[in-house]
Amino acid sequence: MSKTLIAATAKPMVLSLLLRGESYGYRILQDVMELSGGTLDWSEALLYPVLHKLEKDGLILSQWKTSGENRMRKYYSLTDSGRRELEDEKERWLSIHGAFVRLWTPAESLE
Amino acid sequence: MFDLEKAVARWRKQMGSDPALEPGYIAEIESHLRDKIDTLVGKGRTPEQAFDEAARSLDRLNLVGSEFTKVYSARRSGRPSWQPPRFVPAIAWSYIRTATRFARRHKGFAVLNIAGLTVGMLSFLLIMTWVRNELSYDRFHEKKDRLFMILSRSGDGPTWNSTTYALPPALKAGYPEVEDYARVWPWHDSLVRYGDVRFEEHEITLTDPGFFRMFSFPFVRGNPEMALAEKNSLVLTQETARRYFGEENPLGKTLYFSNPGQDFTVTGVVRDVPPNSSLQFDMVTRVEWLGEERLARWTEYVAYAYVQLRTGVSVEAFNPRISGILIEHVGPNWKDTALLQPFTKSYLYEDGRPGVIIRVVMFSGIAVLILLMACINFMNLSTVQSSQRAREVGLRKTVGAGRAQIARQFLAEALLLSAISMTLALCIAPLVLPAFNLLAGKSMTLSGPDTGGLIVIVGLAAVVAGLLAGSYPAFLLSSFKPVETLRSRISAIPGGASFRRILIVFQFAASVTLILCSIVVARQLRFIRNSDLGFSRDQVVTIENNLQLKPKFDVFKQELLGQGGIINVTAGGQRPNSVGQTIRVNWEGNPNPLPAPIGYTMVDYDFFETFEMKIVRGRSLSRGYATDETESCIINEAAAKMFGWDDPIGHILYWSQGAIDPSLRNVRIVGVVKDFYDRSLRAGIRPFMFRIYRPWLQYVFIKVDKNQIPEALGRVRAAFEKFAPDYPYSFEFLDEAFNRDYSVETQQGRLFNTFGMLSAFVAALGLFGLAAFTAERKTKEIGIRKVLGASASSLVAMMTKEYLVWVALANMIAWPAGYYFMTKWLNGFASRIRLEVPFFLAASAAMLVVVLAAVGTRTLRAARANPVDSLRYE
Repeated sequence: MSKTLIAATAKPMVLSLLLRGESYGYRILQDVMELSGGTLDWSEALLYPVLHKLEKDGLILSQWKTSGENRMRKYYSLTDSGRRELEDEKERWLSIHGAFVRLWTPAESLE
Repeated sequence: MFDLEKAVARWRKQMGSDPALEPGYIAEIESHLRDKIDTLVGKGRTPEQAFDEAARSLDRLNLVGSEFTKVYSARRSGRPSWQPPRFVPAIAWSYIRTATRFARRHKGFAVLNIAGLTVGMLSFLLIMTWVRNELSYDRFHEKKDRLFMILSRSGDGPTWNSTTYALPPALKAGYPEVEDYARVWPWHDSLVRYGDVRFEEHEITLTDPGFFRMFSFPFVRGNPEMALAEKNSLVLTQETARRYFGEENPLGKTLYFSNPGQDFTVTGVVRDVPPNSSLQFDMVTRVEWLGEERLARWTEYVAYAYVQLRTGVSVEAFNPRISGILIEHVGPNWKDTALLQPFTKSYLYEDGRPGVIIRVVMFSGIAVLILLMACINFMNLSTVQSSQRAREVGLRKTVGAGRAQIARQFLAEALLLSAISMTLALCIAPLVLPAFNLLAGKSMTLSGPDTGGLIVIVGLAAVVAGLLAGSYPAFLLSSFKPVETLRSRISAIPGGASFRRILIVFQFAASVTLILCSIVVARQLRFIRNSDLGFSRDQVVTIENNLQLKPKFDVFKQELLGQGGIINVTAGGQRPNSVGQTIRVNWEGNPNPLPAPIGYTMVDYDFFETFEMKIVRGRSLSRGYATDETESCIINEAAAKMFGWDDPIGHILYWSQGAIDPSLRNVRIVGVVKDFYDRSLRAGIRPFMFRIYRPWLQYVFIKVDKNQIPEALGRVRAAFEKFAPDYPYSFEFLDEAFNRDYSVETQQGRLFNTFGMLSAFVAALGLFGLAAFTAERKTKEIGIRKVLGASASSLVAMMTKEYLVWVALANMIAWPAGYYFMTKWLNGFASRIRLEVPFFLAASAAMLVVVLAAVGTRTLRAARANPVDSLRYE
C-alpha cells in the first residue's frame, strides 16, 4: 500500500478507534493491525506524530495514567470537536466508498 | 547477564540526544517499547532478543524527531531550528568571496583549472558539432519516416545498397503499401550549352517523377508534381540555373546536352542541395534516358532506389512480404532477396552495415574522454590544494555549517567554474570552427535548425562536468574535522592521495591510447599511399573523354605521342582505382547454377603498358590482332583462379552485360594480368576482366615523363583544345584522385591527431599543476638537500620518479586498449599494416616527453632555487 494512502487513512482510523474508548499508542498499532488483517502495517514513526498533531489540533486529549502492571502510559481520548471531525471524515470516506462501489459493480446495476 | 533496565536506560539516553525529542515524548515511546518487549517475551523470546527486536523496530523513530518538530513548528518548511538551512543567500556572498579570494591568491591554479576545463569543453563542443553534422544527414526530408532505400542481399551473405531497375515499379504495382518510388542513377557527364554559355556537367541525376514528391528539395520555381512529367524535363539547382541564365527566369528555357545530343526543357529550379544530403545533384531528369530494355532488367544491381510507404505501414512487417520478389521474377535458382532500410539510416549504415556510425560513436567516445580528463585535472588540482582551504572548512563547521552544506559549497564552486569554462569555450568555438572545418572536410556551423539540441547537450555536459569535477573535492573537503584543521598548522591532509593516483594513471592511459591510435592511423594512411596497387599511378595525367574527342581519339593519340615528354596514351571506362562495376559471366564448366559476378572495365589499347601492369601469361591487347576490338579480353589472376583453368588462354567467356551488342558478348581470353587493387585497399583483390569497348571510354590517361611535366602538360592541353574545342579543359594527376578516395581516412587521421594532441595537452596541464604544487610544498626539503650537497639533476630525478611509475602503469592499460581498438579499425582494410612494438613504444615515449616537460620544468626551477631563499624564514 502506498505511503500517501496510509497517511490519508491515519486520521479517520485513529479517531474511529478512539470512539470505542481511550487508548494508547501501542494498543492503537495492535488494533489497526488486527482490524486490517495485517494489511495496514503502521510504523511508530507514522503514528506518534499523527497523535501529537491531532492533539495539537484539539481533536484528542492525552493523559498520563498508570496501568494495572504499574506502567505509565499516555492515554488518548476523543474531544467533542474530535467527534464532530470524525463525523465529517465519515461522510467523506463513505461518499468515496459509495462511488467506488457503484463503479465496481457490474454495469446493469447502474441503471 | 542481560539487564533489561540498564538496556532501556541506555536506549533512553540515546533517544535524548535527538534535540527534537522532549523527555515527555521519550517517556511515551518508552512505554511503547516496554509493551512491545512484553508481547515479544510472551511469544517466547528471551528478554535480550525481545529488547533488540523492539528497539530495532523503533529505529525509524530517528525520523520521528523531525516529524514531531513538524507538528509543533511554526515554520512552513518544518525545518527544525537546529538544522542548517539548505541555502542562505547571505552566506552565498561569503562563498563567492572566499572562492575568488582563493583564486586570486593562487592565480596559477585558477588559470590551469579553467584552461583545462575550457580545452576539454571546446574539444567536446567541436566533436559534438561534427557528430551532429554526421547524424543530421538526410533528416531534413519531411516524409523521412516513410522513406526507405531498397537494399539487396545475396542469400545469407552481405547486403548492399543498390537494386535492379525493374524492382521499384514492380513494388509499386504489386503492393498497395508502396505509395511512391524513385530510382536514382548518376548519369554520364555531358557538355551542356545555352547559347554561348557552356559547362561540362558532372552531377546529372536520372530519376523518376516520384523523386520530388518524396524528397523535400524545395522548389524556387516550378511545381514538384509536374516537374519531371516529360522525358526531357530538367530540374536545376539554383546555383546551376544561375550559371546558365543569370537573373533570367529559366522556366521553359532549353539546354542542349551534347551527350546524348538532345534538348532539355527546364521545368523547375530547386534550392541548392544542403551538404548533409546523401543525394547530391546539379541537374535532374528522367531515368527513361537509360533505355527501356535496361529499365526492365531484373538482374543488374546498379540502381539506387527509394520507396515511400503509406502512413502507418510497418517496414518490419513489409520486409518479409517483398523478400522473395527477385526470385519470383528471375527464377527459383536466384538467391538474392530485397529489403528496405530507413532512408535516414542509409548514410550511417551504408550497404546495410555500420559504417559512418562507427566513426560517430568513436569520436563521441573521444569527446567524453577528453572532457573526463579535464574533470580529472580539476579534481586533482582541487584535492591537492585542499589543505589550503582546510581552515576555511574548519571555521565554517565551527560556526555551524553541516557537512552537506560544505559539500554543496564546493560543488557549486565547481559548477560555477564549469559554467565559466563552457562560456569561454562557446566564445572560442566560432573562432576555431573554420580551422576545424578544414580539418574535417566539412562546412559546419554552430547554429542551425537543431541548435536547441546542441545547446541542451552542451549545457548538460557543463553541468555533468561540474558535478563530476566537484564531487570528489566536495566529498574530501567536507570530511575535514574542524578540531584538526584549526588546532595546528597542518601541511597536508593525507586523504585522497591514492584516489588521485588512480585518476592520473587513468588520464595517462587515455592519452597514450589516443596517441597510439593516431600513430597507427597515420602509418596505415602512409602505407596506403605508398603501397603497390599492382599498377603505377605516378605521372599519369587524367582528362575526361568527350563526344568530340572520342571519334578522333587515335589521331589525338598519335599527335601526342609524336611529341616529347609523352610516354604513353590510353583510355578507360573508369579510373583504374575506382572501378565499381560488376557483371555476371558464364563459362564452360561453371559449377554454379548461375553466372558468377566479376569486376570489369572497358579499356583501350596500351592500357596495361600505360599503367605498367604486368601481363603474366599470354599477351596484351594489340592492334596486331584484328579481333581484339571485338572478342578478346584480359583477366586477372584471381579470375583465372575462379574459373579453375590451369591455362585460361583461349577459353571463351560469355558475359551478360545487356547494354552492349549481343554479337560482342562472347569473349576469348588472350592474356592474364597480375592481380591489382581495382577499388581501394579496404576492399581487397577480386576477379576482374578487361575488354576494349570504345563507346564507353570516359577517361583518357596520359603517362608523361617526370622530367618534362610542365612541357608535357602544355602539349596535352594544346592537343585537347585542338581536337575538342567545345569542351572546357581540365586535368588531374591520377595520384591526386587516388588520395581523394582516401579523404575519409585522411580526415579521420587528422581528427585523431588533433584530439590526441589536445588530450595530451589537457593531461600535461593537470600534471604541471600537480608538479608545481609538489615543488612548492617541498621547497624546504629541496633546500636542505641542496645544502647537504644534492645536485639539481638528482633532485629532478627524485621528484619525477613517482610520475614515471605512473606512466609505466598507464601503459599497461593503454597498450591492450589501443591494440584492441586498432585491430578492429585495421580489420576494415583488406591490406593493412601490422601492429608493431615500435608504435607502442613511440606512443609511450611521446607521453613520457609530455610528462617530463610538464613535471621537469617546474621541478627544475625548484631544484635550481637558491637554498638560502627557501630556508631563510624558518
